[in-house]
Amino acid sequence: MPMVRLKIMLDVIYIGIVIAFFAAFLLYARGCENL
Amino acid sequence: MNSHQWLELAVYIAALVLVTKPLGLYINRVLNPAGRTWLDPVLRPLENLTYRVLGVNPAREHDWKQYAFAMLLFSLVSCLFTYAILRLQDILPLNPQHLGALSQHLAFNTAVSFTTNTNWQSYGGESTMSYLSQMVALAIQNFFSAAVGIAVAGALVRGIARHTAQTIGNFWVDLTRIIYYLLLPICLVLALFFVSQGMIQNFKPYTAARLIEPQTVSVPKTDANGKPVVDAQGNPVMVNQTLDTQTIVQGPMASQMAIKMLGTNGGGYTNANATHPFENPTPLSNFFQMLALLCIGSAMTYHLGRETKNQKHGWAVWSAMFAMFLAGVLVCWWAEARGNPIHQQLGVAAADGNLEGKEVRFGIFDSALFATVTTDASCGAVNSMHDSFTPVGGLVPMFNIQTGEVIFGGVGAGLYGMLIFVILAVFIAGLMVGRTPEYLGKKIEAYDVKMTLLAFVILAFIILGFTAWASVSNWGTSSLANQGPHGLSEMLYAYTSGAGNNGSAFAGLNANTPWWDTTLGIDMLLGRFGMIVPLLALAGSLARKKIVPASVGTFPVTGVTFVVLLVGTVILVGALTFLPALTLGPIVEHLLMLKGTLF
Repeated sequence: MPMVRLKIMLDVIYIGIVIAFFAAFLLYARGCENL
Repeated sequence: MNSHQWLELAVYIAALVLVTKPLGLYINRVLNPAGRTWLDPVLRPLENLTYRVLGVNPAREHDWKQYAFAMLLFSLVSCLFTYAILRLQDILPLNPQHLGALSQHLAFNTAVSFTTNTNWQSYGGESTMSYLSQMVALAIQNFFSAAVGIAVAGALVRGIARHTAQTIGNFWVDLTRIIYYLLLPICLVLALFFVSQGMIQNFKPYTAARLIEPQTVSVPKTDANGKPVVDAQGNPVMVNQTLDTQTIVQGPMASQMAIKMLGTNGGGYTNANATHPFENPTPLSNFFQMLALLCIGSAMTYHLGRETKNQKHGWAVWSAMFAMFLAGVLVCWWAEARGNPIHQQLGVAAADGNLEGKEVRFGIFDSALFATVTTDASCGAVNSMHDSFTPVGGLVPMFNIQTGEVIFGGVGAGLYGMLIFVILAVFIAGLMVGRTPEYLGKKIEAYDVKMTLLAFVILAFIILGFTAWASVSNWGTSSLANQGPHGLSEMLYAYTSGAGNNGSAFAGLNANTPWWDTTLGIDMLLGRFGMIVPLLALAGSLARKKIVPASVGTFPVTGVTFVVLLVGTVILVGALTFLPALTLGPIVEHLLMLKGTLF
């Protein structure tokens, strides 16, 4: 069971990294507009 | 450097020139939603159906922010989709080898890699990917990421060509038309051609062939958990293993190889990539793979000229690209043909130049040409191991990527990368004559230069930053197969390849660790979208501008002077940014090699 939890946690982390970066790129676009 | 090889180079260049105009005209029609092509009777109904299903109004264009949002949303969804397929491949169909799911860090790296058109591979395809993963996760992503690159270049060219306009096109329309009208038809023909050359395309399980002469090899002993057993000194315990069978890869290879080359993706079906006899069966397949790599990048310059109604400008940009291409090929070829002086002193292959790491079917010239072409484009395909090149031979592909892969470049990415340098060149020329810089009738103002520099600086920042981090951390250096300047070159190449969305590997680096997979994944994301976003902002800014009539102070963007200035800008900016790092890597390695030291 702990192994399954670890796997799910790692999936959440890596999916989170992807989503966070794309969100950052959207903010970056907003920043570019106002530069 | 014999006459046959010179002749092949001449034929390759002639083919590239011949394909540029017709393909450029075709791309121009594809990137114009009202453009008519000979495929309209078949594809127009499918195109309209796609818009209806997606709920897209093709007549409604986007401003640059809407275009960027749509592009980012599409890339995010396709990245997560790829990640899911790779993580679930063990329970999904079309997996006759019963290959397991990828680890989280490898799935992250691979999903990002194929979304960003990088196709860096921290894995061996034939031992890692199921047929479903190859076709649904990777091959489809090859089409998507290539189409995104061409769409962004198309939007930037529209921004340059239009005046007093608020919009730069509709991302969904561009994406659909590029995939349906450009990539799919050419890939269909190319895949059939590859099959005719002997490339495989099937769903059979891998073939086990009995060896005529069984081989005994020494392999590390493993415990019940599959971990290496070490002795008291910490060295791995080796045992002899007799091999009497060979596993021969099968699968849907040709369909993936066509887009791999045309879309400048480069992700190999097999770990050996284009050195594998199935993946690159004949000299003719090798030639057309190289031609497929640069044809769209070359044709995009014709589209630029056509769209801006200044065909001479398109050819001037092409000429600058060609000059750098030829210089790179000749330097790389010369360095490899000259070989390693230490090998020559030892009497090893003295007459053959440097054949280490090269597929003998292709030899030195085709390896040097392929290495130059694949790194001129943002392609990760290789038909030789760049790690085994001489220091100067290996410097050429690395420098090609570091200049932003603007020498024809990746599909779309090459043109939008080169347009950064065009704006910089025009800006520098403006500064030199003390006039406001103009580009095709548009005044280049502070905002435009800021966006241009943002797009360029991100590459330098992440390549040098990540390489510096890797070179001082145990996470980074523990994966190296070589120490000294060659080890630095391996790390520098990896982050250069990732940020430049190239994907070719220098080899000698075990990148399938959580740290390398994660940092390279972030490197690829920043290199792709950190560059595209300010470029779309630049497109929006240029589209809004008015056209001002040319005056005596206007710097001409055609002719030899412009070509020389453009080439000079690319080389100077690239050299000033990366020369210190290159000096510590391949350049010092070359000097030490001349003194008799190898790494």
